[in-house]
Amino acid sequence: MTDNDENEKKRENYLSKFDLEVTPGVGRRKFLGLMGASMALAGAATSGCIRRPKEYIYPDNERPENTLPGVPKNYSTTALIGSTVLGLSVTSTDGRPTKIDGNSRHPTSNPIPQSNIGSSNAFAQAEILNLYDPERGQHCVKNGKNISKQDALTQIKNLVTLTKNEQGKGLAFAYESCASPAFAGQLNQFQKMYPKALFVEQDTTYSGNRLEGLSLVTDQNVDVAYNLSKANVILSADSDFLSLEGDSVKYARQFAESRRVLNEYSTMNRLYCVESNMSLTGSNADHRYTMHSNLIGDFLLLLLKELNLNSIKLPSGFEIPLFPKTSFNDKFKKWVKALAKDLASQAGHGVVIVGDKQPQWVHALGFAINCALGAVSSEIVALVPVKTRPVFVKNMSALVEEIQHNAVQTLIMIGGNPAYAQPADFGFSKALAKVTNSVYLGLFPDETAKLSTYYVPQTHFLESWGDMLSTEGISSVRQPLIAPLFDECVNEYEFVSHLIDEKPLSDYDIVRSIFGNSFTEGQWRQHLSDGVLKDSLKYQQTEFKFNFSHISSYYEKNIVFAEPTAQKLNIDFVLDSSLYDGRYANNAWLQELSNPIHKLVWDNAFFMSPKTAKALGLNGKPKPGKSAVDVIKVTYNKRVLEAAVWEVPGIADFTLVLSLGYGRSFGKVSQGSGFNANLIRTSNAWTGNNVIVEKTGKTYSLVSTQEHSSMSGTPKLKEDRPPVIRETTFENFKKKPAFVLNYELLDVKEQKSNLFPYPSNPTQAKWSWQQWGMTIDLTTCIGCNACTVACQAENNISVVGKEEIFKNREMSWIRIDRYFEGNVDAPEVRTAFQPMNCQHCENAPCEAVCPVAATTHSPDGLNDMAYNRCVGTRYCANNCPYKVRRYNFFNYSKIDDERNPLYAMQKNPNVTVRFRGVMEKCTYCVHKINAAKIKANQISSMGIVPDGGIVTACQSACPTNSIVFGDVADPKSKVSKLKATARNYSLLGELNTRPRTTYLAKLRNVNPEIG
Amino acid sequence: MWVRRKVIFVEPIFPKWTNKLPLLLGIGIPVLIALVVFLIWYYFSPKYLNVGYQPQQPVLFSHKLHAGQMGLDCRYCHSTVEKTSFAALPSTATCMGCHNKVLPNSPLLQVVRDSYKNKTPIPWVHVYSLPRYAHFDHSAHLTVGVGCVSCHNRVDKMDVVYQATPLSMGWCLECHRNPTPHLRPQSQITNMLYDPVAANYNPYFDTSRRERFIQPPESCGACHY
Repeated sequence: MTDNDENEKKRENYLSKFDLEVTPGVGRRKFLGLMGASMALAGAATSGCIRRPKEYIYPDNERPENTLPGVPKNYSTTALIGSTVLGLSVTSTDGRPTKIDGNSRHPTSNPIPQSNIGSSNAFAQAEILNLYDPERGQHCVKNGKNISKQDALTQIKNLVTLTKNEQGKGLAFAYESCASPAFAGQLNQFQKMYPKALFVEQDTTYSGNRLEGLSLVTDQNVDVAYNLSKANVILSADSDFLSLEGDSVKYARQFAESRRVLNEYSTMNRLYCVESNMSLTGSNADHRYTMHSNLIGDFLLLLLKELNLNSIKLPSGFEIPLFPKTSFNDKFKKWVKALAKDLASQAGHGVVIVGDKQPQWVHALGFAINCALGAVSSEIVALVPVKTRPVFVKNMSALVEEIQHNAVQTLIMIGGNPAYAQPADFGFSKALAKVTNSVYLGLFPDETAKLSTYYVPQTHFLESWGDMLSTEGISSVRQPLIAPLFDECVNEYEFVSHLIDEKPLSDYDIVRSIFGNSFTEGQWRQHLSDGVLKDSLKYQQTEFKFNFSHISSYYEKNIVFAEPTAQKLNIDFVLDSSLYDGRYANNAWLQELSNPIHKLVWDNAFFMSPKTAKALGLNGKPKPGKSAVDVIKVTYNKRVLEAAVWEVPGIADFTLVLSLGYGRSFGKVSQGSGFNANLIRTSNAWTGNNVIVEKTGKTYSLVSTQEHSSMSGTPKLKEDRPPVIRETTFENFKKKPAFVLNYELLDVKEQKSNLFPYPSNPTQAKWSWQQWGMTIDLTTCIGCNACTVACQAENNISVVGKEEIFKNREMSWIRIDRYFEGNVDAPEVRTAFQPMNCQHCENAPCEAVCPVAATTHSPDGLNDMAYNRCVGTRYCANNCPYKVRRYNFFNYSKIDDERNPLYAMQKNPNVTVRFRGVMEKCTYCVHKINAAKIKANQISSMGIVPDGGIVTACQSACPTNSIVFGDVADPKSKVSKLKATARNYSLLGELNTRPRTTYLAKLRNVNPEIG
Repeated sequence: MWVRRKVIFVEPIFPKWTNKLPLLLGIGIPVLIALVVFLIWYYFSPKYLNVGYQPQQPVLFSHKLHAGQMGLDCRYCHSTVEKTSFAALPSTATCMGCHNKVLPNSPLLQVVRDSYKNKTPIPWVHVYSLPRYAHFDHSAHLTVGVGCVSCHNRVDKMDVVYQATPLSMGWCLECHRNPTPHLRPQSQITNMLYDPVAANYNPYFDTSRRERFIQPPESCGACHY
């Protein structure tokens, strides 16, 4: 939907169809003619002429054992999703994967022992669309011409064997991070055969700084795994551990679990965050302070000094003088003092998490602080040897250097799309041209493929075997769900095996052999079924010797920081929460996902604080109904990029933040959206200064969903309604647990009295025994958008494109409202998130206005929507106070399917695909409810679905378990217990809508010393 | 004073019969409207359009022979009917289970043998098909004791299967509003000859029934989602 002309054409096409149907001037003759024809047709019906088109049923030739047509099955698998290895449970409907969820048995997606929900994130949910992307590589290519797979592989093998005489001199092998022991084994074998070849890992988890920092301390190749369920106080130093760094899903689960408040006696952890951009972690912090990212090291030194004053002993061998070079203001010093006191008082339950964007020495410093705090000895911070990266593997800079010296003749690249994703100073695209023979194995024929001699399409992770080792060292197998959709695709294991083995092995054999013959077939099958090897949790605890002496020398090299000004600004590069580093750029679901913080869709921009925009005289916030913002020309390290600007509160002043992943030159979906940060990013740091900004006078259209679906009544009129987000501090909550009642305009007893008295005698009752309801905990919701994508995958929700979204026509059934609180220019701006889906009001305003009764109430309290009855008056959407109803202005699903027939394979067969002119909205996953009820009827005489028997798509995806769904008529169900807690409130309850979805008020665990 | 005037007969503008026109139109238009309504009501209804749909199948399979004369249980072939929403058609292997011995060389079974040999499915034509926005679950209906014959009629008398019921929403609701006469004990689910009314079966007194409360849903969301 990026191409204007194409869009216009499509619309005309649709309008023309529309005209045909309702042209007003149908004359008498024509009318009679039509009538006659319809009579004739009615007559012809006897011969079967106007029946629906003939449909065929193709039964299995021989139905495999235990398969039932139409009954979805779940298979466990694993994949490296962004920065985290994630255990997955994939739904396969009649052999085609349709939905990806977290595996509840895998500790990376469910670290909570008593929970049986495996969480995931937006990336994992959207991977299913990548599988069915029509632009995936389908043919092997040599110099732009298709060749057969066999020819390609033979020629590539010949290229490699040519270098054998010289032990692999001139051969380089650059693979993307894969966390696979089997692949590491292959690399070892490869290196033995070609000892002089160069092996390079493309750091696609962007954890290089972290690993290098830890190896400074330990002199070993180690990674860190946090166990946040034990942490009471967490300090995030520029880290986005809740969404983009490390095992983010696991961390989010653990973080949320230890801040789940049931009553005034519960405990709650506290999160401090110091950062320069507004990250998801920062927006969830109890205390957040905006700080330039190159000051984080100095801030940690200041913290260490304060900790020392609080009688925290420094680890032995720590030498840096305890005063930072930067002088901080008094307000911040006071803040740090309170933070240090808080951390020091936790006796081993405080932890510092340093962001992956920070330089190595800051990671080492952060680890020193963790040692001092006792977080290492209390096992909140665990060092784990990295087993999947052989010692001979070098970094990308080594490869670029070798190429510059013309020392590489044959380059083999596996994934990572280096021509796009590598920073500008590497000049990788130009370097690639210097290599005589370059081979690229990748999912897409992307930027790198176009510059390579050979391109071989790679399989998706749902199409091939593999194995994974999580950060903690948990082993799990990646098992395929479907045979490769395109025959020419090769997986990375078979590809490497083809290069190094006499007789190429299959991916299955390679992975299976890792477990050895002592691993019996029974154990193997159990492992595949579980998706995780439980015993591998007991990794060998290695003893480490810590050496902090390197920190001081690195610190000396650290340049003295100059305060940025309007003439010389700072710049920060961040991973994108929708597209990661660009690998999801061709994924329409993620492109259309509105960013949790700035709410932009289909674009990125230079983000800056409102104060900065004002000082530079830039328009970074279009007026309502407009979308034009200013375009600036940014000069950084002599490289120039022109991009739009967008105001985001909470970003450090005179700092520009630009996310990676946009401005791709490949892909129908990704092209034309956003600006390519890699054109100016340099490899040495994620942050830089001396950035010069010039106005260009041009404008660019940015679309944000921030002002859409406003529930706040009349604009510019002072509100007399209760706030939609009710929040207080944890301390005030303990004093007065029922604080939510302060806001009530309508008597709560009246609000709570059910319109449908739950039946005591179900044989007599008009209403069913089980009544469905939902709670959403605003304290634990981190606003990560996983629910939105999960809902899109589950309920066949269409993508509409940027222009349609500009007209408020987005289709997401569950949206996440983001609110900023406090002065947007102050460094402590606060954020709150509120997921909004259909509230299933018992007294639903939408039902009353539907002229055709297309939306009605079901006996179990659902607000049903009968698509086939809807005539599209849109009265219901107008009357919905929560603005959760979505209208199909065009036949979005048909447009989608025509553009890409493969998308049909993803569709959930249990949910109707909606057509033009009908309203749609959250159904509480009614297909899951009906299926559960049918199953319950078969196994019990009462037909009662047990608590937890229905897990809605959003609930299942939620990495913080903030969404709970169940039977509200049963006082023992989890959802009823939550609804009985003091924090429970109905959104817009004063309108007497009596929503079934209620919210648990937001609590912030504020440090009383900061206030 | 009375003056006798000459009466001039003017030729009438409209012929005399037009005096009856209002009457004719008054009767005719309603009759015409009623006729149109009736024609649409009758000819456009699923009862007219769908009932009797009898497509030609790729194999001349006779339910009359298999289910009727030989008395095969429906579930021998439609084995998933109690477990899933689909009453899945049998795989070719099921057919060949008997037909590698019975009529192994019959030309009528060439399609089946080819399918078995080439591992290709037999393209059966869908007879009872619902629109995509309506969801139906066989297992749910069997669980509560709705027999095959209630919707599919006497399949044991059909040489070639045809659609015997309209599958319209009104037809569904007829039963959902008054289910008891259509319910039968689990043992008689596939029995084509059993008539619960004649057998005086009362589901409320059947202790072996799995579902104790007979409450077929009538809300939209039960089928349309």
